[in-house]
Amino acid sequence: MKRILVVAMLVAASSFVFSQPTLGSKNQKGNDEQAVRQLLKELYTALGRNDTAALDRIYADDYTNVIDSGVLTTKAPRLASIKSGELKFESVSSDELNVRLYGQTAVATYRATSKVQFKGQDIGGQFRVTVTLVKIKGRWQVVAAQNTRITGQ
Amino acid sequence: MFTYSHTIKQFTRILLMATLPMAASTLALGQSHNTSGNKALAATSSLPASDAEIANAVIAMTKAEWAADIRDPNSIVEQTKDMADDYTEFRPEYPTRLEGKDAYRRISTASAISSSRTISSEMFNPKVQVYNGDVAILSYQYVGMDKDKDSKTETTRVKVTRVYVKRDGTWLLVHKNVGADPLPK
Repeated sequence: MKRILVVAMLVAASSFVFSQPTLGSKNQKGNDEQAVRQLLKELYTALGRNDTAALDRIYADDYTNVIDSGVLTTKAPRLASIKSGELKFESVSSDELNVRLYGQTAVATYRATSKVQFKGQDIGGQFRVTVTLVKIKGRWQVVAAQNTRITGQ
Repeated sequence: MFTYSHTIKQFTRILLMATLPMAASTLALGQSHNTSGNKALAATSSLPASDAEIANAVIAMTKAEWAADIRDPNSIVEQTKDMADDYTEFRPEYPTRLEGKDAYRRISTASAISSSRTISSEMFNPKVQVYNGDVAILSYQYVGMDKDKDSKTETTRVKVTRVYVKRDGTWLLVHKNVGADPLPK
């Protein structure tokens, strides 16, 4: 009888252990969130410096971006526009950052403040930004974004 | 309904006193500009079969939400059945990020009392990106028509990104960003 009780307790204890998120998975989530936040910092820095080499690494090949004008742009035209100086960032900063992780995907939402010119015209301001990132071959990359201008500006 | 009717009317910058066909044709012209030299903008035809299936599913979910609104603006529960509890949303008129399905439902319920209602909702230029079989990012242009109690109609154009995530075998909408979609100059 005692043996049965001991076995039952062991089974119960092990199922409890396995039903809990492991320390490893918690650590992994923490590491992923940190990596995503770091990549976003690198993104702002790269934009502020108009660094197309860095942006080429940060943006996935199938990157899409719905910009303020409602146009959906992709990686190649965006990088070309920055490289040519047509699109020129002076500074980009963010606040109210929220990062949510769904396995190998992260959804980051924040408010961005930018100083930027397009063909010499000031198009900067404040925006509500959604950035979706995916871990591709072990590396986080930005796959999609939408910038919505905050009204009243 | 909150999603694409009454509160969107507060987008005064993007409300157009035009007919739906006019807006749609202008949008089609804008599309040719958007897609120039970019095959990636094709809706779902370039996706592998399994991803195309997911893309079609999330598009269908979005359209079902609109259909529920057109049938009954007060059907908030039905309209939000595919929404995650931790749903978030950006809109130009919000001072900050909308947090949670419950908050969304409360605002939608309040908005549904308006005398105006949506009579048409159309999706243009859908683009879906699918990753790992459990995330789908849907971006599209929306053109909707509302009719008020005097039968006066208003057309709305917005550009939207939706993020869907598969959790425990079910696709859920976790985030939406709704922005202006001005007419091309």
